[in-house]
Amino acid sequence: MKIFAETKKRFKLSMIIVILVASVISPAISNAYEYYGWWNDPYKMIPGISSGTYIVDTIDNYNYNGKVFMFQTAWNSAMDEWNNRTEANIQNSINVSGPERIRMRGENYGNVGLQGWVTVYKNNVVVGDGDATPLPVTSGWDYAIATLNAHSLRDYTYPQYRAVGIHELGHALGLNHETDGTPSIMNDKLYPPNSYLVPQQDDINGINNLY
Amino acid sequence: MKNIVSTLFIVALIITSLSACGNEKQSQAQQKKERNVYYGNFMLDTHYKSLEELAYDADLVAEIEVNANNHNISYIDPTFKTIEVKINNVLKGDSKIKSQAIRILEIASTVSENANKKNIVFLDKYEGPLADDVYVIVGVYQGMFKLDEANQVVYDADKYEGVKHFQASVEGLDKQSFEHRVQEAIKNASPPQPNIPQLSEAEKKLAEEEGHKMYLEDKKRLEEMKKKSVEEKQK
Repeated sequence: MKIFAETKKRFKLSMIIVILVASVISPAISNAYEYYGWWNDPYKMIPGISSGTYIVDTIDNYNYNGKVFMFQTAWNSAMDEWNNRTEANIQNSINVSGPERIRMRGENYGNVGLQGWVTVYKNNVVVGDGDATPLPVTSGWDYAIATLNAHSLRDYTYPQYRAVGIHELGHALGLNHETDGTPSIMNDKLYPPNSYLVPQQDDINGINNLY
Repeated sequence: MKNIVSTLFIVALIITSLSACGNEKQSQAQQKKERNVYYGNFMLDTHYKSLEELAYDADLVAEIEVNANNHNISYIDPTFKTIEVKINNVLKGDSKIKSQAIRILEIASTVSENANKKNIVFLDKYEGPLADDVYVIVGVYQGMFKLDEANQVVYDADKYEGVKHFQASVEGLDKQSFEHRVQEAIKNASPPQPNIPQLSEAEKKLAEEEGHKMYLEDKKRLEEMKKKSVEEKQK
């Protein structure tokens, strides 16, 4: 009886300690959002995202095979979504001065099989190893080019390709694809049931936790 | 003293198993660091769920060989390049191109960084501004099946953060069996599921109108931000 009581007391003490320690460890290893690189030292935009500028290198009224895209407004609003919901504060270079951190493009690239993609750079060199292009993200970066492909988005409405733009900017800011079903604009497929049009709470947490 | 030691032992055991998850992620990250291929930054057009869907979208299905000594690679920009490959056998398409060379417009070094020289690929003729007279792999990398030294099928895109839907079911097949499966898929080719819901004309019109409303709201808000910025600069 005495042994049982002591074992029970020991077990309770152990669980209290474990819960205290787990509450420190678990946020680092069990979050839905995904980063690049090591989980405890992820790769990201090296200068940070609380300053800097972006350039929209495309236009509104971009015509591809009769479909008119408002790429310029879509990209501007996409960056606005991240600026308004997270610690990000990268502004249009038309409005403020500062080092260019992101360039956004939108045009027809043909049937390459991609709706959008991001390439990241450090000191004007594409990040990664070897001759592969694009390269694995193997370090932080100070510049990113985000691209939308008109061919692949030809059946998408403005909110839908704007959402793809938000997704690509998520990559530029440091978020990897989300694949465990958590509501996230970083899902690798942004169509039903994952038809998110704005950053979700997990995406916001991911960015704010990274910087 | 004995009680404290056994308590600490239990705690250490539990903490060790929790941190093992983090260590596994670390070792995975280390493996990723050693690779030269990476599919993680892409928003794919289509997620193919069967060989039949790949066959439907392919103009050409062939066994190709990459010449390891002379890739004959032409770089277009950091994302795209073309690479020359030799056609060993044609499963779908013009059989006259057997033994000839074709060029593939490559994204993410799908072909050129592939250590396996021989592959069975589902190819589509490229239509776009980047290059002329080239093919693209259907699904960027989804339509590429490597053949290892034992002539068995390898599909490992998931190791490079690519998708893997049905491809596990053909992994390990010998070349002959896989080619038989491909021939059946070609006969029974079916279109891939569309990404977005198929709407009626009325629904499409409504969606476009709603989309246009959002565009006008965004445009108005951005113009107000620009005006405010100009006013602040003038102060």
